[in-house]
Amino acid sequence: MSQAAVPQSGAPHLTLTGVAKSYAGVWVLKDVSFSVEAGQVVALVGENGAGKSTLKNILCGLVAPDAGTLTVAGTTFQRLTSDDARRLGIGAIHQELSLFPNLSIAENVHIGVGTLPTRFGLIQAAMMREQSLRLLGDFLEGGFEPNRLVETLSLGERQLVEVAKALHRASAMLIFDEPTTSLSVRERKRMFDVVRRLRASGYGIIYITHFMEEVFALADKVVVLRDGRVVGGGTPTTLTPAQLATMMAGRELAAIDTDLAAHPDRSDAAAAPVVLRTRHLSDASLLRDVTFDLHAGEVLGLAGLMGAGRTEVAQAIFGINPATGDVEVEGSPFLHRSPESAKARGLALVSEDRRADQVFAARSVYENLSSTILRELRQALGLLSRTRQRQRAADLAREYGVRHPGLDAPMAALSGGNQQKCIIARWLATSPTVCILDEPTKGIDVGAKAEIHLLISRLAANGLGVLLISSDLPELLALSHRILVMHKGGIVGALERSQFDPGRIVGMASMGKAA
Amino acid sequence: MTVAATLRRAQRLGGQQYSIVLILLVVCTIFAVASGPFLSVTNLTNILLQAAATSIAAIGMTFVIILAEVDISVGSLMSLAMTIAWMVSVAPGQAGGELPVSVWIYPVGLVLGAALGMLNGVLINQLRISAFIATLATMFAYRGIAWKLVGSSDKPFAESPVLVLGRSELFGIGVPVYLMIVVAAAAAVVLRRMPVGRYIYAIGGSQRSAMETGLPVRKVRLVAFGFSGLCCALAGLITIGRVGVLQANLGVGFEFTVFAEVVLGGTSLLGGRGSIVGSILGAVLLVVIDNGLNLLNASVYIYDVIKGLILIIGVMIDVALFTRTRPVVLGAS
Repeated sequence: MSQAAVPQSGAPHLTLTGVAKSYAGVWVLKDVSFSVEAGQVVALVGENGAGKSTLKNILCGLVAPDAGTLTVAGTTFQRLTSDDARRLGIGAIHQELSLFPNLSIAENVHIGVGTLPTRFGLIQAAMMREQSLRLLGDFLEGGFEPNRLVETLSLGERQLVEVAKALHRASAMLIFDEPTTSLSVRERKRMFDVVRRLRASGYGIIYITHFMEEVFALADKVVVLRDGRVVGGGTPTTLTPAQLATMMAGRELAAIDTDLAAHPDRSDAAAAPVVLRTRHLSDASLLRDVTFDLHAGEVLGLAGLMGAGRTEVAQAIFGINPATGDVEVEGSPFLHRSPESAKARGLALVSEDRRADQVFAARSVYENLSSTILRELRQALGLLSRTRQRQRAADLAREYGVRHPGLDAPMAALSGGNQQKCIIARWLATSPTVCILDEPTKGIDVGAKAEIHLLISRLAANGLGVLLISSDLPELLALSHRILVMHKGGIVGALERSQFDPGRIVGMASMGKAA
Repeated sequence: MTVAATLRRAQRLGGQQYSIVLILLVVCTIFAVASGPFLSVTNLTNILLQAAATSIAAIGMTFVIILAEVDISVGSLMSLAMTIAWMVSVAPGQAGGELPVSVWIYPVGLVLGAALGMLNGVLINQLRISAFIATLATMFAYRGIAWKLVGSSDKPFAESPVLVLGRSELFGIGVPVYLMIVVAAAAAVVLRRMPVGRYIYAIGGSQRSAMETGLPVRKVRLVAFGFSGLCCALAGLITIGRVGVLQANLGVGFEFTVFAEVVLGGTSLLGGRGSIVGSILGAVLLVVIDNGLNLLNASVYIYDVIKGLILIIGVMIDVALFTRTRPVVLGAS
């Protein structure tokens, strides 16, 4: 562990006052104030996109706030640099681990400028091993051989190594960023013990999570963030899970109601034929026993936290990742699942990560729009006609309201919302019977979002079965006819439209059962 | 599958690949059975001598490839460093014929090699272009400058210090072999025991983690490319000493030989793993193939075919052993 002394508990060690941050005119954090004492665990909770990660980056010195001050151990800063953070003994356990899989545990714990023990320029492997044993073995009760390569460790073990790496550098404050998202039950218990032990030895801890059970198991204090603001807080003893869930989820419910009015009721959906049926979908890592029916003309919402397995369901259906269990499309079994055969069977998938997964950013708008239907646009000798491609693309752009600077402009020139509309349009050009939309409005502006909502509602009205995966609860409530709630790879609840209740959904998603 | 399992276990313990050992043993056994003189002491020391220059270049390249980068300028770099060093150290006023060359060719050549190598690193750092593009450009440029400076004719040496390095022997073994051992040992210590060596593995293993951990990525790149250039210069000095001529075409196609050696030695082109011992064994293997086929009076045209096949076999063995370590995808929802 580093040399700086662990501060005494009692006085606030870290205080944020009026911290704000905006990106391109959108506030991701506004007027955030709270404090952390030494020997205290402060749970920072909120839905995806509430601003938790930005806050972490500000504290680690990776992002500069626009306003507000940070007071650490009595000194007030406008912003921290990463050097400041290191000097002040602030460390973070990142959700996406910053480890080197090809190096040993001991090396991972120690690597960095000035943190490798050397003598005459040579690394003291024995000393490194000993220190790692002390950190990981005694402190974290890992029982690791420090000379093992990190790539041989399970995710939970890697997370402990990441903790040890942070401990080796940080002496006062630790920020845990959703450390249990990918851990097994046993590994999570161990992580809890680690956090408690660190608290006992005087570390001030910010514990970012959206699992409510973790809040009640670990926290001394809770701070709830929503849309970048602190909307509430308290101690776990004075709060009930239901109160907390409402704080996390509560949005302008009025806005949802107006959306609702425009959305046609589909109480008869159950009578419509089933277009997609899954039975006991399970995979090696996460999914267990996912079973549901999707009817024609229905929007079926899939709610859950990040890492609950919603995207994995889509990928299992599409054959992107192998899974056991059955899938039926329009009543006949869909065997040997692959993205290509899924397309042939009338399935369409608009995936979450537009940029990486679906957009050909450097290619033109018309090529992007027509890329799924090239076969259909072929002419004699299998040659493609540019004219026909452009014509069809122009039709699609008009039909789906894609605003573009010209069909020949590169896709990258379009806004996120218009890129998304292009992707939806090009999938719908294949005339699918089932459309899976994974976070269709993530990261796009309000106007485009409303247009996409309308589009989804129209698709369902035209008889398409829509599986809607969204972390935006108001969106899910507004558009879905039914909502399935997922938690840790399984479906833990199914709600009919009349039963929709944001607090209840958040409760089920974070606890795996009704609040 | 038991052989594979054993190898896999060995590999997990040692953290490196052993397919090269297997292939080398098989190839040597075949040649030993087929040709008597293959196992003679003279022949074996001759193999080592022939492998010395390319192994030293392969040691430098191993640094670069573990860093998940590549240097395809090595052949041209060697040629340019030797050309300028020759111009600086050649006795003035004696044009044509066999020219005496002073001992200055050593320091000048080595410094130039390191400098030209570091220039590759500077290009990558400052222009933010890929190593492949940067060194492809310098491959052409270095070669062109070398030809421009001395023309395209070979430059023979008179009896001179250059030849000492290439042609002397100690206890019946050529000096280049000792050089190879010294450089290899030093490089292995740097890679295994010194912070910069561990940074090389770390950066090659995960660029993103390296950034987040604050490792000196750009400095390390300069070190690796500079060292690769230095090794090339040393390889060049050995080569021209042994041949006794500064060839205009010195190092043409050299980069592919060096790649083959490093890859055969189990160093991953994706970066993050590899070893000096592996690269040297890779270099020895290629020489063994030449040597053995020569003893068997095989057609010279078959040599490269055999080398190509061995390269594929070596990589296939590594792939078979390595598919178990799929990277775990983190944070996927």
